[in-house]
Amino acid sequence: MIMIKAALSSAIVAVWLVAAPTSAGAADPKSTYQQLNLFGDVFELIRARYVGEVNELRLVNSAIDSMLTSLDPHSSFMDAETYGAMQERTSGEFGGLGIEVRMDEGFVLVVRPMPDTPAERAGVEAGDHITHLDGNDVIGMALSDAVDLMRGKVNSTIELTVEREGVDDPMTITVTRAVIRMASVRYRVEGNAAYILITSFSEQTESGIKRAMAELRDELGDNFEGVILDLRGNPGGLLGQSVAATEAFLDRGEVVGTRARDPSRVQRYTARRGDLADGKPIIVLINGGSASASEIVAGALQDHQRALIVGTQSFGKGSVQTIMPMGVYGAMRLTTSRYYTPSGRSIQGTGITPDVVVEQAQIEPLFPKPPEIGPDGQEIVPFDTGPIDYQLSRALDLLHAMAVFQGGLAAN
Amino acid sequence: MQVIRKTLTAGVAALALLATPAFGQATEQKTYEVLNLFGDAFDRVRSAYVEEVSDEALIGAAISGMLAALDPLSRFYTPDQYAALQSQSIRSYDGLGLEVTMDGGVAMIISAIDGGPGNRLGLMPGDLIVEINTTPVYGMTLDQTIAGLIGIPGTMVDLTMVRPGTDPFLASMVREFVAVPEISFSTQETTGYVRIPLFTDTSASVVSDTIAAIRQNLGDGLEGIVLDLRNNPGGSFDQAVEVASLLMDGSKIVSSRGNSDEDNQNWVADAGDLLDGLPIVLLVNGGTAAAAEIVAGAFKDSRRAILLGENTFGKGSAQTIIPMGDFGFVQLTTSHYYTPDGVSIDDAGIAPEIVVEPSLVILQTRNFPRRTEADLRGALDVPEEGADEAVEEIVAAEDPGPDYQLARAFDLLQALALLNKQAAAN
Repeated sequence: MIMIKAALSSAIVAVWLVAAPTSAGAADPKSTYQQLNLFGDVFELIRARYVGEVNELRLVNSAIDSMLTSLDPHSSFMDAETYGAMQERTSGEFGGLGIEVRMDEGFVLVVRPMPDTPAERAGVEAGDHITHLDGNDVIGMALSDAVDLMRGKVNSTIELTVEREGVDDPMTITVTRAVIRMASVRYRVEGNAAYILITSFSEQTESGIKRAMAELRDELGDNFEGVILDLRGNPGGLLGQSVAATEAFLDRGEVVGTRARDPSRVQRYTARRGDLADGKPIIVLINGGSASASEIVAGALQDHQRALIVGTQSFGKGSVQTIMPMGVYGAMRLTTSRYYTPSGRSIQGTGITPDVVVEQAQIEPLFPKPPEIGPDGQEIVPFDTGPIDYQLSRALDLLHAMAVFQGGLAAN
Repeated sequence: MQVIRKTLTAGVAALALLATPAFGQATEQKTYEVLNLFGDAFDRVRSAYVEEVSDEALIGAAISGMLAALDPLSRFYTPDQYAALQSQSIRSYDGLGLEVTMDGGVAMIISAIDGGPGNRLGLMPGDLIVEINTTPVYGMTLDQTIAGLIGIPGTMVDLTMVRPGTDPFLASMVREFVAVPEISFSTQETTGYVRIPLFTDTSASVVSDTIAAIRQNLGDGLEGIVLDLRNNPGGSFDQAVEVASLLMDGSKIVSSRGNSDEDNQNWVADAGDLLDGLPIVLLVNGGTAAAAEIVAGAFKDSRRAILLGENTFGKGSAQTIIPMGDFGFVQLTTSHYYTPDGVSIDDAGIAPEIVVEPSLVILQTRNFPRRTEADLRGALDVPEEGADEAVEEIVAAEDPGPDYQLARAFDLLQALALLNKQAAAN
């Protein structure tokens, strides 16, 4: 169905004249001016000849997005609507359902509902397939579009059509949106260690770490043996917060350096504050899901020999993006620099190699204890503590050993 | 880096002026602002991106993105890409034999080519491909999707498919060499059957020869033909028009309409009809697309044939390739095709006059088990041979049965022939 026509409309003739002088030297790279002219000519051609309706802003938005996404996977364009939604979300006025989702066979799969959120209260379960949002088919939707539909004003409701394994008919679940605070830092005592899980680097990370360390050290008192910093599955976030997280455990030294294309534009971030763990051993847990800001923390603590890195190779994203507002039209997300660990290593593509490689594993005792029989002659079913986190248990063993060794050195 | 430029601030002021009555001027102003937005973005990428990027690569990606925002067939070719396109003499269906388009961000099957793996597996027009080897199709261009489907014969492809009304399913296939399907024909009593699976460079001459062969086989007994365009994704526009012209006596076939005079054209059949007006029943379905829909629309509006089957796909646009100096070529959708009655083909598709869904015929006559000598009491023993029969039954159960649409088409053709005879007698 492709017809080749040779004629040019009047709009193109002007272009032709501009391009003509360079035709002689076809091998010469074309000037920036000529390239921009080419863009203008194609734009003009579409306006003149395209058979359907043309939305000029949509054309240019698509052109900018395509230009940015051709650079790398982290550069993109947010049009006015997308950028506005992003700003409203971060302002906390927008509500969500509190589910972690991914795409599965064209449907939205609930990975898990987060505890104490509207989704959990409404009965959404891990493994549910969401087929419709307010009656709209999710097939053919991008995950980001589906997520946008699930978000909305606080206290507004959304109707989810859900297919659940073992249930024949699709169910309709109505969920009332609420402000979902993604707790950046979670913490608890594990043995004699302060266990701190950072899920992503957001504005609350620095304060979260401080609160965690204060509470956990208070709880452990003199028994405090060290810190387990869990960065597994942490995709990154704000650069400044990763610097703050690193500073919390360093007394001095460079945390990270960023370099833009212009070699003179190097920026160094240096630790200033005191070490919240007072020099006690630290183990950082990483895996293939630890990226970007997580790798800054792991890389810096590794280079300063402040922490032992345990787990598996990290993701390897060593670039920094800048959000550049474009007036009323939206904003560009553009990769503007690479970062390097204090020793000058680039993380891009390679990631952080753990000092002690521990793959996640399922552990089954070779000689399980015989079941206990209660006084009534019935087998006592032990309280299910869930699967053992093998990497964490190895980290705890190592930390304990380091603490014992360090204690021995101190006693001598 | 976060500085908003003065030009942009001025841009905001200019946009506010849009509300004023000077509409034409405001539109021009807006075009200017939108182009400025692009220039600004281009400038920032050139100065702030972490690596040096060539202007050519940036502008190339921008132009491709702009054209992709229009439709899947509007695109940009670099001179090298264009040269490669020219050297491809035959459209390759290598791989799965699927003709696809993009719809709602995912790939949609237009039709599964006769004899290809997709056709054998029963993939249907309108089926959506959401993943190719677990890679999501969402966000891919048509070219990227096709690149994922075609490949070296013998390699495996897993497609995650969605068919409206059913659960998603996995279609696992081995790629193979799919030959360009050929026109075939047969005769049955007083009628001919011609199947055109795709319009290729030789379709018109082959159809002409085929009609001659049918006329020779049946002589004066020929009462009409069934022309089968089901799952024909189109192909050569010129050949489709030529085939229509062979069977139509001087009436309008199709017209194209666009914004420019050169995009407005009409095609009219030559005088003379190879079948001299004998009835034609045209079989169509959801896989009948593009060039095949032009034939369907022409036959329907000129009442040259009765259309039987299902609604066609609805894909009737023409692309023009426009050279852009030594930068390359723009392929742009510049017109839509319209049937003689002015119905856009690039829309809802062509509706058949007689709707017949593909169906399995289950006879309602009770099928009593046949009584044989062996069933009689006290009959002599027969050697057991039963084991094989059970297997055959299972195979038979998977057979979709006779082609119901085709059977209905033959019935209709015979009725039409009868009417013709009565008319001639009166």
